[in-house]
Amino acid sequence: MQRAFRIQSELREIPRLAEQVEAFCEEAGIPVSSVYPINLVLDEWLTNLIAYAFDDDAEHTIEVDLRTADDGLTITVTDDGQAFNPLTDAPEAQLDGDVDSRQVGGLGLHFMKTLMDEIDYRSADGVNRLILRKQPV
Amino acid sequence: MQVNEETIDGVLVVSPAGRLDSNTSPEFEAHLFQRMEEHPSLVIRFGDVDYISSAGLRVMLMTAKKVKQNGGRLVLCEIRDPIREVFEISGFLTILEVCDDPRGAVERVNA
Repeated sequence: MQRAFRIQSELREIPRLAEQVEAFCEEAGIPVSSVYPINLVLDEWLTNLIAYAFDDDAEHTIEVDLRTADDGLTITVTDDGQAFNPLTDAPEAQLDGDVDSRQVGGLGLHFMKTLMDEIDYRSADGVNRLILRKQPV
Repeated sequence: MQVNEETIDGVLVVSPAGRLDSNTSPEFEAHLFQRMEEHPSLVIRFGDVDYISSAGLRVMLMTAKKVKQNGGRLVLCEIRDPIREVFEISGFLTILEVCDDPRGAVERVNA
């Protein structure tokens, strides 16, 4: 099963997309316990894109493609903003320390690395693609 | 997002409901910071939260820092799966004070 969703680069699009992703997962027979991690990882990536990737005032469309096969779910997020490779361009999240020293930055990418089985990022000709894979539970 | 509040044994218990994400977290943070002006200690109940992202966790960390500065106490309660897993993989369950239910959380604040 495959479906593509397009959203504008606006934060308010994210909860709307989450409902559509949930419906897709239900139809595709993805276990309910996987839906939250999928939507969380998408939310974190899209929130980052919307906040940092687009430095002009133009409207941008982000495409989210979901595809299920026997080997699991593949999520592809395509954007035309500034490239940002989550595997190489971000420091590791700081996960220790007490309330005073702890910083919250980097948690979104930490979720991605923890909850997804494979992460791939490609950027060419002004088009960026994040490809996430999650094996069946 | 809706925020409900009640006072148990003199302690303000704040119950956000719905999604705590990048859309709703700024508003929730502003609400908590306003409440902290009068209430040095707080209980936050997660029983009605369906979803939390790093934006919501950021608010919890900022609130915990502020409560500590004010010499108060912050206790979170009713953090159940799948929200709990997000707190867990963030390492937040070890740095924030967490309790099962609001009454237990209030007892800790008043201890």
